[in-house]
Amino acid sequence: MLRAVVSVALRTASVRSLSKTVAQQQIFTPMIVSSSNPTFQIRQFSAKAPLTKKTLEERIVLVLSLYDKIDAKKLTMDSDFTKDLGLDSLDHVEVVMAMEEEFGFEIPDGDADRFKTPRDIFQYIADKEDVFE
Amino acid sequence: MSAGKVVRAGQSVARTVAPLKSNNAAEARMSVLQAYKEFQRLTPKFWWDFGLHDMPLGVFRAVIKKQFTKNGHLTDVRVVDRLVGETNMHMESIRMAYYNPDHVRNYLFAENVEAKPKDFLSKFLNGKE
Repeated sequence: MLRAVVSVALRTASVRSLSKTVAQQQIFTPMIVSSSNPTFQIRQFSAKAPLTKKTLEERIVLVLSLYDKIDAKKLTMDSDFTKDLGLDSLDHVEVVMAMEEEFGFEIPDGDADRFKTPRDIFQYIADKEDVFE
Repeated sequence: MSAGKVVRAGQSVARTVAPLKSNNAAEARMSVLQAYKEFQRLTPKFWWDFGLHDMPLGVFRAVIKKQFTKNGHLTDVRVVDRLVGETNMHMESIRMAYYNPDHVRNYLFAENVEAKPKDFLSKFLNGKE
């Protein structure tokens, strides 16, 4: 019974596939490219968006300023996490987790321990993701 | 009698113990941070599965963080290792749903649980004795 239904569905799909390829493409392409709302983001899992030094720095600052224990006014690229921003080691772990989520790769604990300022994170990600310009 | 005491005190001056897992304080610290990271990754599932979403997730993360910071004064590596091991067991039990939501609540919010009566009179008045 199920097999019959599936085969019927497949047959109709294959017949339709020729005529509807264009329509399907329209469905699967993101429709909010020209959206007026700049905060809306598309997160695709196929490939990462290309990074430049400028966008990388902007994204790091954005993630850090959205973290509730960091005062966005005090935040600069060279402010020390513990001294200037007043984070403890557990907050530091959470910051590194936020960076992992933002840039889509895991940062080992030994490397994360050496992050003292946002610029260290910037340099690390630029090294790992081959950002040169 | 007093001489015996002196000898016993002298015997317990230096005592080396074998490490449980970490060899030094830095290793123990790393293991705590690893456990914390893993716990924070688990937290959204924990929060949802155990019906703790009457509070926002951020608040719940802070509650979890408090469980770590309340042991922040510990310096003994073996004690820290033991607690990290217990944390890992807690995480396993949370993942496998061995705990009940009520027990989790009583554990995390122990200050809200009504204290058991200590002395005779209050036990008597509560009908315990």
